[in-house]
Amino acid sequence: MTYFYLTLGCLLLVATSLLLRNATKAQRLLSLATFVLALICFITIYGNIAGVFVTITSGLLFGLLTAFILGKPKNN
Amino acid sequence: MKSISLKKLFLLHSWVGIVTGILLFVVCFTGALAVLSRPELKIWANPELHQLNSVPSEKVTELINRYHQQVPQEFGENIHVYLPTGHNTHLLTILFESHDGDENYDEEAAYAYQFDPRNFELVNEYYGAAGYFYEHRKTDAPSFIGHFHADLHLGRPIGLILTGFLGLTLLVSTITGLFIHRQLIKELFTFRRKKELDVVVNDAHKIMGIWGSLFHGVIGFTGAFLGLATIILLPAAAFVSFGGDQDKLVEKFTAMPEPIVTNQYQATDITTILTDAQSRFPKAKVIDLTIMAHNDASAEVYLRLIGGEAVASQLLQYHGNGEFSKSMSSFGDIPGPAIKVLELLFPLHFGNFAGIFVKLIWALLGLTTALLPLSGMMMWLAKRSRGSNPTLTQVAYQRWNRVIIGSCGGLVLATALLFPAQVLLNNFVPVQMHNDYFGPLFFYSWLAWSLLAILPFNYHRYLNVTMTLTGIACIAVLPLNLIFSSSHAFILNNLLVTVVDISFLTIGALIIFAAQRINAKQFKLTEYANAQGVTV
Repeated sequence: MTYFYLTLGCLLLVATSLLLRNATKAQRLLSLATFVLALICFITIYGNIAGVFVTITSGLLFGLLTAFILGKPKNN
Repeated sequence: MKSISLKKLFLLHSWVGIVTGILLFVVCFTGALAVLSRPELKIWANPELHQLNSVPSEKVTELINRYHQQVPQEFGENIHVYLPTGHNTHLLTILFESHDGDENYDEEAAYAYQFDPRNFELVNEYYGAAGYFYEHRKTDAPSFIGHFHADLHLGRPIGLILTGFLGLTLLVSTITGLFIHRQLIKELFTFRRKKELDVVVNDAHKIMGIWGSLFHGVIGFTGAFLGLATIILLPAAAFVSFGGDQDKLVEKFTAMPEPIVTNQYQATDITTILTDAQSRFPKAKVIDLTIMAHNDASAEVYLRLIGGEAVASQLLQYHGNGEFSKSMSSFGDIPGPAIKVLELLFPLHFGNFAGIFVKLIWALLGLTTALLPLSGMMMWLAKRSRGSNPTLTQVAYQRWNRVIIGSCGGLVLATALLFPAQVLLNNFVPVQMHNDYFGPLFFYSWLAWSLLAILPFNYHRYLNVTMTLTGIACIAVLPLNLIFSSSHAFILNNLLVTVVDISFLTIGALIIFAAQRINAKQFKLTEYANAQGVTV
């Protein structure tokens, strides 16, 4: 079950980054929702404090990787 | 914010980065590797630990009892047991310590016995000053890198002050960077990968800085705390509250106070204690034990645990009869929210609170922390060598680039060389002599590669050769292990070695691929410039 939640959490964070990248208002709200869902997944695995730390740092890493791989030529 | 203030912040950001950039890269790069050094890479580096699951509690108890009878009575006051988990020593170590020494030593003295954890054969015996034993424990490539990250092998207090100060400069650079690039939060995803190198470096610096700002800030703050706490904060606290008496302060807050020995025999039930700790915290790992007043009615046993549900490491206290007393932080049983925050600083810096997934995140984000000063220096040099009125000549630009490649690339190369060297040492050099090799290999290869920067050759070629050699060193780990070691990547039940060896192979191949790509890009650029009649 740990691996399931871990994979799901990571996929949700990737979705968060992709939604943030497109940056319409609806997508930003949706990205917040997916981030919260990812947070729930990581809290389920690691507990409250560690779950929050893991979600934030993983979110930063996935955001950075998205920017490197799918970087835009200029901002909208 | 007024533009004049922004300009000052920009100047502060630039100069802090330029002055401390290379040192910051050195500390951050080794820190990113040090995240994985204990226990993963340490287990990889020591064949004794490759296929070890756990040490039977009964065997630990038996060894403690047997060797306690062989040491003088005063050495039974404190017994430290370091379990072979990859966090401390690579052998099962039992250390009998006398705080006041004996007839030969005025300082803390110890009898130490080290056992091969696979068959419990006595491998090493030591009698002497306790400090000397700890300082001269067997090291390996990952431990060497971990210690280098902590104090740059400059010793204490200078090394710790320097790394603590670098933590502060990282914090300053992160905060000033956020202020001067605050409008770039809108450009979180701007990365023009297909443009020329200057633009790529510029974009990479900004997105690494913005995305990683929280992480860089936390690492800077916790690093500054870890470096400066024992050197500056502890004496300051002692000065304020204990009239400058540091020993009194430590005594007041120590997690393990000395019990009063009653001289009434009662067997210390270590087997029950270890079993109970594992059943209470099944996901956590016991890394060491401290037994006070062994086999006395007043005996107390302390177990240090890492992992499991707790974010920070925890200390379990048991009475000698096996009765559980309490669980507390490694600072002791001190109430209040401040101590809770304080104990979080350690796992936040080391990334060791939630398994390998978190460690990989910490290592990758740590690499971006290392790349920030590097990309910042490249931007600073590029800015001063371009435009209609450059302040840096092309010769000086080339020279400074070689200095950066020699010092930073040389460090990466020297670090990469340690790992194939570890495989060769494990197979061809007696264990007692390993410590003599890592320092010279690391520092001389780094120095030699840095000195090459004096020679006036093209810095692109220098970078290319540095990256290729680093890649080859990483790739060499797997075949060397396969040829010389009996415990290699392709034997059963050796998952960690398999993963580490294949990771080295992959990383090495990626570095060589990146070197070729940079080379090809530079070749195209030179061709284009030649066609246009411009010098590159």
